[in-house]
Amino acid sequence: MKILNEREAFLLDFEVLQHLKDYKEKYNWLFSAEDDAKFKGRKKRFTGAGLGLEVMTRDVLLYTELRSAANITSKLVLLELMTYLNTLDLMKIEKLQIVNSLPRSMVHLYGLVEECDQRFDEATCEALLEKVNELVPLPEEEEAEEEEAEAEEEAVEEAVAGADAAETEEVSEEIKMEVD
Amino acid sequence: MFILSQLLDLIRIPPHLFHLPVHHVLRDELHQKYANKVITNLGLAVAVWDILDIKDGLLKPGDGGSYVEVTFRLVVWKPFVGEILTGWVTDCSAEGIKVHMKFFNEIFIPKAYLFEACIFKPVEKAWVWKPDEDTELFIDLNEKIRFRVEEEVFVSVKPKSSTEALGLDESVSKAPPYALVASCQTDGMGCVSWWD
Repeated sequence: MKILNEREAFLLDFEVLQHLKDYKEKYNWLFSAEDDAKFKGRKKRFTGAGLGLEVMTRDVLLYTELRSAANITSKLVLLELMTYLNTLDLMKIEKLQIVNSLPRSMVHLYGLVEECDQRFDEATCEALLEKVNELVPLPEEEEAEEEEAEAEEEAVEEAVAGADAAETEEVSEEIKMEVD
Repeated sequence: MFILSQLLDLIRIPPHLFHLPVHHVLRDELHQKYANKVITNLGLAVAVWDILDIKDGLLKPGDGGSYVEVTFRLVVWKPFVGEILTGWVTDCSAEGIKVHMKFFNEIFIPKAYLFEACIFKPVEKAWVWKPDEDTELFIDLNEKIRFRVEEEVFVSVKPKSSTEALGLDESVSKAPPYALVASCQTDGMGCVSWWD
């Protein structure tokens, strides 16, 4: 093995997510109970690429889906966010981190951007956060959870722990309706 | 953060795969070799991104397989020093906090890199941050935590002797091939829920 170029490019979480999803699709891998229900009667999974890739795909998908990258729905959203970030005087790596972790609060943004308080005034930062919120709104379920009483939150958690996909969906739908 | 690395390797194609298209076979062989493995001084290999060049196969006397030199790009997970990441707490001890990120588990926050007013409570097995006298913020197990990468440690885990390579001897050190040292010292770090 020879390393020709250690770092040819940086990748966004979003790109990696798409790439691994393609593999998952191609190899017919099912990782969760929901997948099983969705693709019932599908052909058997392919194992040619080895267990290493399968495990890696499962775990990275699990991670990136919990992270913000999964909330970006399409390339257009990404494009708009990038065009907006390009109007600001940010380093490439800072833009990358902002797109990857989509900060929602000032402290988070200050962590990502070096010397943020000196380089940008408060209004600029707030505008940035607002733009992020506008382009990539948080999923509804999370908001619902915050608004619900604790007791019900626990019930949801229990249902999730039970790994009964159908039941979980029912519960979250109930919550959604109540919020509406 | 994921990066793209360009690599070159000689891959053996076993004879029973000769009837398949060569790039399919190579992709699978490369995945078998690299996926979920640490490449020393590079990072954790995730998956093949694309194959750039496939040379003609070479033969070896006494071997039915063909050896193909292939240039490809690999998705590698390698955070840079100073990057802000989120993970989940797996273990709290007097030395510090262990964090996992689902696909990568070797992240450690030593006590020296925690907030200054942090103390360890052995009874609850948790670290507690006291920003002022009255408030106590707990870092519990499975809590979502935000941290800054401070250092990356690569250890070569190649077997030291031939007996070890054959699996007759247990290797002496059990250090992970790739580990991260992280910190939680500035505003915005620590449990994600504190800052919302």
